[in-house]
Amino acid sequence: MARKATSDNPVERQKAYAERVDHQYYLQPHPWRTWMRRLSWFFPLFGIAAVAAYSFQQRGQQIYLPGAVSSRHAIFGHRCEECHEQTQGKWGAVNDAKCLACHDAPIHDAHTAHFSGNIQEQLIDGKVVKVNTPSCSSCHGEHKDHRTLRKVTDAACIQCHGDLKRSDGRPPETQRIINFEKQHAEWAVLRENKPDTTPFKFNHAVHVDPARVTWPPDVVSAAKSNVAVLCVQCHEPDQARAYFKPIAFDKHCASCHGMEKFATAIEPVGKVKFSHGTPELVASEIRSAVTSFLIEHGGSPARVAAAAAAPPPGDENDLDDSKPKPVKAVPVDTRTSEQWVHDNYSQILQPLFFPDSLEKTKKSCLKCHIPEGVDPTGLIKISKQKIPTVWLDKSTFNHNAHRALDCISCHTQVPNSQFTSDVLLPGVANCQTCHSQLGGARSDCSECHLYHDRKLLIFHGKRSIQELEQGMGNQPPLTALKPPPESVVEAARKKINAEDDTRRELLKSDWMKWATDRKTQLTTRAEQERARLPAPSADPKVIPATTAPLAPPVVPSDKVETARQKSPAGPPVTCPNCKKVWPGDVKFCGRCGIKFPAN
Amino acid sequence: MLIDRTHKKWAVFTVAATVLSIALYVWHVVALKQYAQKDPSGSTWFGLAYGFLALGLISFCCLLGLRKKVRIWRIGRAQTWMRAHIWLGLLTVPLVLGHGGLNFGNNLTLAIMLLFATVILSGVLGLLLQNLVPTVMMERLPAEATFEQIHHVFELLRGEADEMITASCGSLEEGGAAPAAILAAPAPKRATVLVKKEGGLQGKAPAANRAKSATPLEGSEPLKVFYVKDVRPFLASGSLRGQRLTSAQNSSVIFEHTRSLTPPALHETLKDLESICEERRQLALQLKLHGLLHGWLFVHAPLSYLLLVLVLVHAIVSTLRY
Repeated sequence: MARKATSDNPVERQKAYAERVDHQYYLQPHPWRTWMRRLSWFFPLFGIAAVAAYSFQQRGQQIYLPGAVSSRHAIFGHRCEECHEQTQGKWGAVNDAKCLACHDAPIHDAHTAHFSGNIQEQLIDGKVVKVNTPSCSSCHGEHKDHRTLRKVTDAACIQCHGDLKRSDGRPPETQRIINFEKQHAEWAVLRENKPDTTPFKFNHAVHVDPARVTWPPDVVSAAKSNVAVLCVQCHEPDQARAYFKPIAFDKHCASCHGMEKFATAIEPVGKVKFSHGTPELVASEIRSAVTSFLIEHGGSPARVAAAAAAPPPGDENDLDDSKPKPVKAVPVDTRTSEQWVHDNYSQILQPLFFPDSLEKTKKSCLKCHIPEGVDPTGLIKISKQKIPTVWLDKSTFNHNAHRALDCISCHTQVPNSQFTSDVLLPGVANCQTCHSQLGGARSDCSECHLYHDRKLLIFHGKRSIQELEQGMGNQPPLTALKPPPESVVEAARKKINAEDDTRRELLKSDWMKWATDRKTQLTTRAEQERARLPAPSADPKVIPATTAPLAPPVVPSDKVETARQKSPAGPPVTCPNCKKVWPGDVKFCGRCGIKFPAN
Repeated sequence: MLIDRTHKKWAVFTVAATVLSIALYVWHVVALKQYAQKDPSGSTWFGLAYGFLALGLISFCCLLGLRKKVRIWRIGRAQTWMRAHIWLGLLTVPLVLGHGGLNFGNNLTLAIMLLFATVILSGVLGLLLQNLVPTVMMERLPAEATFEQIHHVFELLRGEADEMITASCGSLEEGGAAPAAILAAPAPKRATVLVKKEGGLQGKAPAANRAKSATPLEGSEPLKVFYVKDVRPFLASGSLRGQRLTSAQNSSVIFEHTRSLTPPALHETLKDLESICEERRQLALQLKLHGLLHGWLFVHAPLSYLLLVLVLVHAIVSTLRY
């Protein structure tokens, strides 16, 4: 008999299948259902037990943290009260005072302040203005990582600086700064085409051109003489390697431009050595050398003259008396010692300070220095050179981070720069090449700009080791939690305001006009000094005694002027790339480095 | 649950709600960056709203277990509950991600996010399996039985086979062909329970206990030996690994060989025996497929309850203490 379960009749077959089944099977326990029920109870209970067990541990609260405390705060990261205010059992936001208990965060601007509840009324330009000061935690986000803690987002800066108005009423350079890549304005010094006003003459083009550099043989051998001066030979990195040390004559110039080249030999004193220094120092050294010469040669002008006229020592083997010996007439020098010293001193100093021709300028102080006039003692006035080491003082820059680059690749104007007034700063477009999304280098605001005024930073800690490790406990509140004294804040504000006023004044004045006026002033003064000079004596042997100051330059004023003033400016040149208009004598676009075609 | 046309409204709603929640999130992030210079997080009003919405949906999804447990509750059809469980469960994904600002957080929140990901992925996997495996079962398992009754059916099949062999070959306990260990194997516990509970129970008790021995047919000894050595162990409820009849191909060859050793009068019995073995193979396959079809629930359901507990702890602590 065939089985019903394999019957060809599907009804019969299904019936056979159905007969096998216990229709109340679900009332019976089954391992699957049993284990499902057990696990469904076990896991939630395990979760509750785990959370409860962890909460009773010393650092139990950490499981509720939205993120790990950064490594910088890890030492007290398990004590929420170190940063958060607790009110009615709830942890609140971070108060600025809690941050300032440890950190010295100088204010950003006189118009912003901490402890303000973020909005404070301030008296600005005679008006009460509500100033929004961001809290510490709005920029420095904790519970992420220490990079996020330090790094300030662009949005934090843009909230105030995105749409700035100029204090002088002129339209802003950019309507709204969103990022560095597209909206950042050109540096002010390039934008306003301000020259470098350092009273000094330096020709970069000569120094970086191997064909034009003449090396002294004691510095570079003849075989290697056909090389240019390397940038780092003069621009020596500072300790942090971020910027460069100021150029110093002794370190960076003297090896080639030694002072011995400037010494003039005169009769009877000869060559007098002097060092590089202020005009007063140079004059003092020359006077000292001339005086020493006089003392060494008899102490009076007559003896010096006699010694100069004495026959040279004869040949001991020459026994022929028939030949007449040369007899030299002894000149009569009636000058006093003071007059003699002054005359010789003036004779040496004159070509140094007041060359009488353009050619002689090359062997005078005026080869490099631009004098600011003549002082009452008759010496030229040369102010201390203050070549800026930092051009963009509102931002930070690190040359060391860019050490892989050739200097000329950024400072493209250097090979053609002939004048000190050229500002060889790379334009913003040059930076944007790499510091952009396409370039890959960071381009956020905090890459260059710092929020806190580091000049006001006081490197003075406020916590003890015990406080850091164990918390404040029952100790009295730290004085640091209180706001700084009003006097300190006021002093800081005054300082910043004073700096702002100076900058504002500089912005208002026209630098070029200032430079022209200054030069006119100097020329007029030099002519006045020259008019006071007595007429030169007719007798060359009798040198008139004079107590008048040293003569000002007798060179025509147009020749004394710098080469820059002499060079024809020509019509303004427009950069074919960025369309920026430059003065006619500029050969490169300072913004994009494109060489202009020669006129 | 099969995803068919009846899910259309739910799917449309879920997709629309997901798009809306993503759009709102993008708007929130842009506004937050522009005006507050902050990154999105769960502590903003927007993050809290998304968080509480997600908590509500997760709680509702977990109620499905309760709904299944108490079947007589008139609070909607179980199918509707299952549809809501599936689609609203999926809707929690954008809400939870929006709540956390696309961050997985740290410590407890990280554990919750990982748990949430596991629950969602296991649910999606289960949904896929439940849409694919039943088709395979329908094609390959004509003798499908209720899962919980499979082991009971094994015993019934063995009893049926014992009865057939006893009728043809005589008592299995007589003669020396049957290994004493096989015959002495105790009947399964379930079978015993079923036998004891008469009245409401169906099915037959194992035949080995009650089959009357008949006079063995001439030439039936090879069949008896084959049954005792190969078929009976194969029909026992346990693993089929190492059994000669596990493979359908081998089984066919072996049965053909046995058929050649037995008289034609026993061929009908052999045919029935072969069909019983085939059923046994199908039920073994059903056991495997059932494990695949419902095994993911061992991950999905218990972890869902754990997730609910941890989410509640997170919500309470975050709201009341921070």
